[in-house]
Amino acid sequence: MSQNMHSPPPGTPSGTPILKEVGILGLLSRFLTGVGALALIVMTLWTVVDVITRYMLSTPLRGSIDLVESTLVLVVFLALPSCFLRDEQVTVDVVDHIARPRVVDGLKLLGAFATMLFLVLLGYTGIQPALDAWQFGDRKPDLPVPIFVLLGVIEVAIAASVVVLAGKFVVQVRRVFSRDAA
Amino acid sequence: MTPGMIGLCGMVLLVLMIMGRVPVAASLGLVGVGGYMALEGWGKAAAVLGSVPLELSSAYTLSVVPLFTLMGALATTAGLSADLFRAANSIFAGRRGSLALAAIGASAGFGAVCGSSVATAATMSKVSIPEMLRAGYSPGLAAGAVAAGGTLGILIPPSLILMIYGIIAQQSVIKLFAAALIPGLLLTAFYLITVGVIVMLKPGAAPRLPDTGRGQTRRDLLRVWDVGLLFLLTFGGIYLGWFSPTEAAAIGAFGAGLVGLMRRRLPASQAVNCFSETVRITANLTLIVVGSTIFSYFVVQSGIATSLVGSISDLGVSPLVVMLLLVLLYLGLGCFLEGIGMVLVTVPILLPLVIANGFDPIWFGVLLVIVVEIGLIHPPVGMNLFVIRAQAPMISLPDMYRGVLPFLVAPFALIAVLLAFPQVAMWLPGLL
Repeated sequence: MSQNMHSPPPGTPSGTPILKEVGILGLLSRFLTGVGALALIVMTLWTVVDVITRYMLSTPLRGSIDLVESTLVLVVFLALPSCFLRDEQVTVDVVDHIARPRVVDGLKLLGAFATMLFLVLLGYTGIQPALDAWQFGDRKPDLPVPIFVLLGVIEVAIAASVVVLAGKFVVQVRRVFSRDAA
Repeated sequence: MTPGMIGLCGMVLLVLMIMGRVPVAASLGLVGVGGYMALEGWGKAAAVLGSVPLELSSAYTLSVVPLFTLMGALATTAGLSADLFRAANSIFAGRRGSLALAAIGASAGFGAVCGSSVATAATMSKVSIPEMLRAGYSPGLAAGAVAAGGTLGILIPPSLILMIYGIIAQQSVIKLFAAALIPGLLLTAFYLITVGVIVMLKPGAAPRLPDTGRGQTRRDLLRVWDVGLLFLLTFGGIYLGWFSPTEAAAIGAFGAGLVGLMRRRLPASQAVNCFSETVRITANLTLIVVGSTIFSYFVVQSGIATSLVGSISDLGVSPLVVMLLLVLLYLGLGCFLEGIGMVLVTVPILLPLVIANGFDPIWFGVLLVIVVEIGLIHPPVGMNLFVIRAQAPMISLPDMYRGVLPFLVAPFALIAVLLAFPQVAMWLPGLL
């Protein structure tokens, strides 16, 4: 079975105990999620207003597609740290039912490390395109949104996710060792 | 090592990583970039990896995902499911098994504003299961009807899985939604028939309840006029060419919020939660799509999908046999993998095979969703059953498994119908 990414059933407590253990990271990820949520509000309202003005006033808003595409970057990346903090990634956990708890703990740490590695690679390879976009002054066609800003947002989200994962990794290692000692 | 061998090693490694608890996104991404590097060197792999996040995250077509997800979240929070259940119950009142029939009917209605099966099952179980148990229904029938009804959430548009499939298979989301509509309604009818057969064979499983009367039926139906209008405006607007899918999704989300406010069931804190939850779901999905995109570049470069098509053609098996084998494969995978993960891992490899055997990718998308649905309710796992268990702990898991078994006939029957009459799915997209 795997983690689900859909709406949790109403009444399900949100977050995990680990959220409290990494307080500052929790604040950071909540802040970034909030900015992403704000971007979603802007995207929704802008699109609705665009449709209304197009049909009622025959004057569509300029740059709607650019605005949707730009806010989408914030919507899809800024909540990543929160997802990692809440363990909401899709993971197949069949092994949990057949392996010993120590093995499962080890696999969880391995999973966290693999995710960090993937994110570090993603972040590292994104630096050059961001620098190129900065150097050549790439912008969206209708709205003056510089592409390097969007790439910068992705880099910030990835960096924050790596920090969150590293924090969680340390907490998990500490837990495993303290349990062993007990 | 030949590219084909590298591809094969990549597949084996991917399976090992996924089964070894490495998150699906990281598994896909790491195998993809590692395999691409082995084939083309670090320079090209880095260029691909560096370009994918922005390409995907700023793609206008992807915007339907957060917007339709938001529509579902707001509809769930606004408690539309309770009114839909009451309205459906009024329609079926007086018949044996009316509450189970109502649970399925209301799930179909809720599926029209919510693209998630788990959310549909969760919200519907809260609304309908206590009422069914109070009325003396067998726990198995109550759980089975809600679990099965919940799967309609991902077949009746908007469907989160169809949106993701559309992005990864580069197919029109509008056509996919159109293709899923008639099969979704057919599956609803099959589930209703299943309830009818169960209560005919075991009348004790669902005591007959008194009719509510025409006046009450009218009042209950009128109470959900806004939900009907929301669906008609959103999807009618797409099919009539008034809105793009993104615009329709934004209007749907805005409308769901408005309905919630009008009914005074959407306090500010809950609305904020809906937005936060939506961005988290979208972020999670996008990371897997990023991983899957990198992985599919590797699959293409290794030529493993082409080799697979060649090998299957050499065997000389008919397209029908190929499709039946694929259905079996997906049923097996459904025991371990979550639906969206299953789609993203397999589609880059298997879609060329599907197309080479003469199947339409739009038709295959619908079939894929039905197979994913089966995975949501079939033992040994069945995500919907676990969700219902969390909402109704008084029903034991064995009771749930027993209760859901008769409902498994319906999706298999639908698969048979789709194989025999592909036009059931392809007729509506053909009109667009």
